[in-house]
Amino acid sequence: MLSGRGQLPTLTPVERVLVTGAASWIGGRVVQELEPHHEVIAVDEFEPRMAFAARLHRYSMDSLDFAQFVIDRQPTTVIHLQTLDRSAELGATRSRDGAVLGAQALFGAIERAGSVRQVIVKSDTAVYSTGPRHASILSESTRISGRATRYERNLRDIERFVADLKPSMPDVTFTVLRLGPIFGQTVANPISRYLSLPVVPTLMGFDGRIQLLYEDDAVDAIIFASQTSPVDGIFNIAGDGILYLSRLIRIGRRIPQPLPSPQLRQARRLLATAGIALPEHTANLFKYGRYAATARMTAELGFTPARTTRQAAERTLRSRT
Amino acid sequence: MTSRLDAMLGGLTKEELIALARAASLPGRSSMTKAQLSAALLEYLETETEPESSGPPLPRPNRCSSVTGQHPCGLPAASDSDRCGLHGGYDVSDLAIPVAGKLGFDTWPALARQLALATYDVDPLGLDPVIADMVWHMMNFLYFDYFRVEVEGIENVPSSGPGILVANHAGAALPYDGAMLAAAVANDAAVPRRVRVIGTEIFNMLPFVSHLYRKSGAAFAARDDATWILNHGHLLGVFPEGVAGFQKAQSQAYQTQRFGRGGFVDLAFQTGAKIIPVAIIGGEEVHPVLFTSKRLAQLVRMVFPEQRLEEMAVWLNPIPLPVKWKLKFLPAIDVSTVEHTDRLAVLELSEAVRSQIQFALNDMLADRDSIF
Repeated sequence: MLSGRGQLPTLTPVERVLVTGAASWIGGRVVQELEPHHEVIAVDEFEPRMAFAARLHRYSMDSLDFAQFVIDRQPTTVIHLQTLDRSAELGATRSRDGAVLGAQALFGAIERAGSVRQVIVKSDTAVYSTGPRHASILSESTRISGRATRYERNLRDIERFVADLKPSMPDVTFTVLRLGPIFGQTVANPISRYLSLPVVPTLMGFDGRIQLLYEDDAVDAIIFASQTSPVDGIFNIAGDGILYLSRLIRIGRRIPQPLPSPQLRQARRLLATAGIALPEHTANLFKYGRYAATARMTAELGFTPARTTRQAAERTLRSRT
Repeated sequence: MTSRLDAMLGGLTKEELIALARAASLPGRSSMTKAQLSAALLEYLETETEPESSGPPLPRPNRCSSVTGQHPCGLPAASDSDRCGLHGGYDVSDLAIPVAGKLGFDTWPALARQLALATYDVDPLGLDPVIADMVWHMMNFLYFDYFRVEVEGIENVPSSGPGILVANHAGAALPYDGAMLAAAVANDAAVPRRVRVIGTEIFNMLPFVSHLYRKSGAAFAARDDATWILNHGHLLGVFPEGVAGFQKAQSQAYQTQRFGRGGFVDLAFQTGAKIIPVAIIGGEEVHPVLFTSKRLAQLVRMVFPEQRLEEMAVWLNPIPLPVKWKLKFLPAIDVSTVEHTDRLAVLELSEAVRSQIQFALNDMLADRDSIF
C-alpha cells in the first residue's frame, strides 16, 4: 500500500515494535504496514476494527499487568497510538483513565524495561485547543494555554509525561506527532462522518479554518517516523493549506445548515442518538478554527503528506455521492 | 477645445471635480487640491478622448483565461498577465488591486460564482480574496463618498517588503479607522498594497464579524500572527492603544493613550520591518461619545469574560456622522539604524512613535476648520 507513493526509505532491520491502540482504525493500519517487516506486538482492550495477522494482546492499558507485559516482551520501538478520544464509547472517566493512566503505565514500563530505543507518540493538534484568544498560526514552539476540553487535557497530560521522561532517558528518541484532524472514508471518525451528512448543521455566524490530514497520510506519517533515522521532538502533521468549514461543506456538495447555538445543540444531540456524535473539541474547531504550522514537519522530519487539505476533502466527500 | 474644457472644469465645485476624478479612477484624487484636480482631469480627458474618435471604443479589460469546469473565470485580468488575482495573476495576499479590477458592482456576479465554486485557496490567516473584494467595494463608499478621506504622505508607505503601520485608535462604535487605513493604502499608494490589520479577540467572538473580519484580511493581535504577516513581506496595521484608545471619553479625543508593551517595536527589531507612524483625524467624531460607564463595561465583561475592558463608551448617534477624515503617513523609521535594541529601547522607540503621532495630530487639528 505504501510502495506506490515512493516516500519510504528501505526498511530498517527487524525490530520488536509495540503498538498500543491496535484495535482502532489507525492502529490496525499501522500494524498492517509493519507486520511484513517487523515483529509486532499489538495491544488494545477492544475488538480490532481492522484485520491483521499479528496476535492482539487484550490488556487494559491502565493496569499493572500491562506494564509487566511490556517489561517482559522487551520491545525496541514503541508506537503509542492509544491517545484517541473514546469518551463516546466509554464515558468520560473511563476514557480518561485509558488515555492518561495508560500512558503513565506505558512510560513507566518503558523506563523499567530498558530495551526501548525509540518512542513515537500520536498526539493531535487538538492539544493546542482552540478559542478566540488563540493565535491564528500555531507552531510547535507556541506555548500551549487556554481552556481545553477533556480530550485536549488528556493530550496535554500525555505530552507532559513525555517531556518529563525525556531528560532521564537521553539515549531514547521521543517523537511526538501532533496529527491534524484525520479525514477519510474508511477511518469514519466523528469529523469525517459528520461532514459526510447530506445536510451539515453548523453554528450560525462562525466559520472556522480547518486543516485536514488524509487518512493514508496519517498512517504514512507514523510509519515514516518509525522507519527513518529517529528524530527527537514534536511535529505538527497536517495537509497543506486550510479550508473554511463553509467551503469544506461546499466542496463536498453538501448543504450547510447554519443554526443558532441552542438549536445546534439539539441537532447534535439528535445526531448523537443516530451514532454521529460530534465531540466538543471538534465543535470548537468548527467554531474558531485552527492552523498548525507544518514547517518543522518538512524541514526536520522530512515528511510531506501526499494530499493537501483540499485534496483530502475532495477525495473523501466526492467519492461517495 | 482645451480652453473650453478648462473653462468648463473651472466652473465646477471641488466635490464635482472629485466625482469626475473618481469616474476616471485617477490615483491620489482624494488628496489633490482643486487646481491639481482640474489639471489632472484635463490631462485625462485629452488622452482618453483621442481613441474614441479614431474608431474602436475604449479597450475592454482583459478577461482571465482560467477555466473551471466549462465556465471561464470571467474576472478581469491583471494588467501585465492574462490571469486574474484568483488564478495567479498577482499575489492577492499582498497586492490589494481588487480581484475584479476597478470596475464596480458589475463584477459581483462573477465574484459570487467564484465564491460558490470555492476553487481558490485562502491563506493560513484566512484571507478570502473574493470576500475581501466585496468588502473593499463597500469600504470605498465610506472612503470616497462618506468620510471623503484626505491622505498625506502616502509615499512613506514602502512599495514592497514588510512594514508596520502604527496608528492612533479612535471611535466608540465600530473601528472605522482600521478600514480607512487599509483603504488608503489600497486606493492611493503608488503600489496598492493590502494592509493586514490585527485586532483583539472580540472580533473572534462576535458572530458573523468573526469570519467576515478574517476573510477580508484582518488577523488576531497575537505575536505568531504578526510575525507571519511580516515574515511574508506584508504590511501590518496595528493600533497599539488597543481598547483604551477605542473606548475613551470625548474630552480625551485625540489624546493618545499608553502604547502598551510596545510589541510592534519588538516585532520590528525581530523582522527588520520599517515602522510607519500614521496620524488619523476624523475617527473621534463619527460617533461622538456622551459618557463612559464602568457599569456597562462590567456587563460586557460578564458576557465576554476575556475582555479587559475597563470603561465602555456610550455614544450619541446610531448612524455614523459624515465627518471629513484626514490620514497623515509620517516618515518611516528604519529600526536597523537604532542604536540600542534592548528592552528599554523598545519602550523608548514606542514612546517616540507615540509622541510623533501626537504632534502630527495636534498640527492637523490646529489646521482643521470644520469636522465636516
